[in-house]
Amino acid sequence: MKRDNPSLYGALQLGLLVNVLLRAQTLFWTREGLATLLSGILVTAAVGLVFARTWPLAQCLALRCGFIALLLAGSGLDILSLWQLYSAVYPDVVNLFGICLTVLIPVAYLRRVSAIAQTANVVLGLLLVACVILVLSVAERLRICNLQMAAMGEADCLDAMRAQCTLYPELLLPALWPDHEKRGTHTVLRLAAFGAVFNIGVHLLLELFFGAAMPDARNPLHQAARCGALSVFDRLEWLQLIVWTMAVSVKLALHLYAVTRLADAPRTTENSLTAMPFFAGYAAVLLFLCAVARNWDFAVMSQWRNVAAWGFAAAVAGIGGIRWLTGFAAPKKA
Amino acid sequence: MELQKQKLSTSLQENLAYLQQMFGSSSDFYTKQLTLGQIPCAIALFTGISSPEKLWVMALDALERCPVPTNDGTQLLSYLLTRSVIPAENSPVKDTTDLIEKLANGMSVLLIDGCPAALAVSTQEMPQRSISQPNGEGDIRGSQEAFTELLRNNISLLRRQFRTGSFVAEVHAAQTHAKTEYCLCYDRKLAPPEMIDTLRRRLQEVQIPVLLDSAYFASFLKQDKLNLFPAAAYTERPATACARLCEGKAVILVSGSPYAMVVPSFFSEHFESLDDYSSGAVFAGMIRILKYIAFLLSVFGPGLYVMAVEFAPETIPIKLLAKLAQAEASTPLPLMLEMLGVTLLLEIVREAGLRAPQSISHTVSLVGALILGETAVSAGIVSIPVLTMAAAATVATLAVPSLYEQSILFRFIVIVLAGAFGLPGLAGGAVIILAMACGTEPFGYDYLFPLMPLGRASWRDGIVRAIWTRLAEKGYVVGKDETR
Repeated sequence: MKRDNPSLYGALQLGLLVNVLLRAQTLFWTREGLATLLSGILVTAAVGLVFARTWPLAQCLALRCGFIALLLAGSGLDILSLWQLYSAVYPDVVNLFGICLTVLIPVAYLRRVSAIAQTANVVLGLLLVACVILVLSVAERLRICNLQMAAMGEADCLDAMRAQCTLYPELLLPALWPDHEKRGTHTVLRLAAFGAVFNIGVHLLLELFFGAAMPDARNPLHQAARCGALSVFDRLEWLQLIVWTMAVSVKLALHLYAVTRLADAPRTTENSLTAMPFFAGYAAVLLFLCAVARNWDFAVMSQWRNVAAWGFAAAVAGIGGIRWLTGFAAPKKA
Repeated sequence: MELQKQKLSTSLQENLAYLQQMFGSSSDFYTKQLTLGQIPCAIALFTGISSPEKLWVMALDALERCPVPTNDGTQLLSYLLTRSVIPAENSPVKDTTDLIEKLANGMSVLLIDGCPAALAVSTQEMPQRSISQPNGEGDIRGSQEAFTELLRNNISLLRRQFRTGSFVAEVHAAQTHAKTEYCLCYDRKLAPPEMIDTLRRRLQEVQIPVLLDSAYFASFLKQDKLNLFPAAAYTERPATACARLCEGKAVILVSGSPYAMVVPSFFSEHFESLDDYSSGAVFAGMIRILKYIAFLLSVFGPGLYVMAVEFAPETIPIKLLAKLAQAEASTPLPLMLEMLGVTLLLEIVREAGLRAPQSISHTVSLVGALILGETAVSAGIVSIPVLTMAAAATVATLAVPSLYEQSILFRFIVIVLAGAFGLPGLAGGAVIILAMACGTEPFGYDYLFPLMPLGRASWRDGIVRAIWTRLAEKGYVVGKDETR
């Protein structure tokens, strides 16, 4: 019951789930995804591990700023994707500013590491319950015959591989935590595996539900949830939306904490509150980013974010590797 | 104005003159000069809080029967302190601040000529309310005693139930103008020492103009001032306080307040009562779950209704939706304003009923609840479903009375957010409340323990209660069950 050492693993898991729930839903067929699952996990986990090793050696002002930019872009993308979803479901009801406020105001209460950790665990639990309800509510519409039986093509496998190798910031974030070395290398591996398996699970559900029409569906998971019914409740997608929105707030809080660490914002202890002006600055930047990017092509933005993440990880690995080889600084011992 | 601390004089007349200057104008101040042996002495006390009869029985009668074996004031004091049968305080009064404190505490003070110190005798006899039943914590079984306003009585009520040598009751004077006393109670063996040290230090640092209730300390113990969840729990039952002491928690009693503050306090405690442990485990578990549902209903019910009817009607089963739409069609106000108005009105009625003189409080409640509600519906200002939902939420709030303030505030937040932003607003409200609960760290402990992280403890005595044979296997003590 004592909060000596809060773990942010739950928050990282939640962040990965948000990426899948709001974005990566119809990128590949389940069979191709399963075939490339292991390679996807290994590639992303390897990048995360290399990044965690090289970041302490490579970090400098420019790279810190780059990481902050990457996180801000990720946060902005999350808000925009949530807004797009709400706009599609409830057109003319909620504007972008309203979405920004509703996901950013709770972050003011999530400025302490232990609060993020505990809230993330609760929301993760709620999200898993919501997923179970989703599956139960659409169970009668799931058809085994919807699974695609055409021969596996090289292009499809490549697509699946590419999709599974998307580098989300959550895989890089453990490198920033003060005690990441103590937590061992398995943290990143577990995260990568968890994210990939959940991604496959969502794709399987959607393929069973939509069949061949899966790639054409817009907001497919939400569409599936919309068809779900349990007892007197004919539609349960609102339940999913509420939990997804909560998850986005926690993810933004996680990003704020990471930005705080990168910016070396003053903290008396590790678990002390992030200063309110710092939070206000973060919120203002996100509002500005969302306002600027509201009409940009979302798919292109996501691709660019992925490219930027890979480029950033490569740069850190390169610089860190060179510094390690030249004896610039010795890696920290656990 | 802080009184200057000065030593007592060896001259009896000077000491008496000082007291006359300080309290001479007070009608309850009483002094009497007398001679013990051949030494001039004087007794001083406040009638009403100290009893001259007790003083006679405890001291003067004994002194009259046993001749004083000295003619020196200092030796007389030493004799009275160490060799006589008088049940005096252990240490003599040596300065004026101590003298005033002792008198104000209801003690009688014997001033001796030729001696720069005085003797204090506990002859308190304070007017007090008798021990009665608790008003705000209804329990069917178990002890029906409640704390009173007198600090010493409250300590004795605790000590009577907590009969171990490890029970500690530290009395301190708060840094207030009135120097109000408070008592920090804990079990030396069970309470984590670092927690007690921190608590003691924080309480001693508190500087407030007046201390009328233990709740005044709560704000000073809060880590995050923006957080609406309480930093402490309160009880007026010595039995409950005793149970908390057995869990390794600390109890703070303040002189003049019949409520004990318990720290650290966890969220699940608000859903527990003494009856839970007297009744069967299955029934107690069901009642606890009902209380959690009542809390959720009181906080989210009206907001969920506004969100569902206004923004997401697909969430409501079609037959119910038809009825709601019919009712809402005839009201002029937007749904959010309607719900806010009714909720506010119910709160006003409750507050008026609570604060009004008892003779008219029933009338206020009746007029508010029946006439206003009935006429508002008849006039078509509010709809019946809105009124029903607001009333249900208000009643549900009373199922968890210790979280009343929080329920009301959260309800307004959720109504406003859900009414303004719909589904994301409701989600935002839920995260805010969850984040507040998760962000609360009473003395570094998880506020949501044992509910979160979900584990064996959650089912032992958290969400539900296990049977006594399982509960008795391992008592839960703060700080002894460390989990990450």
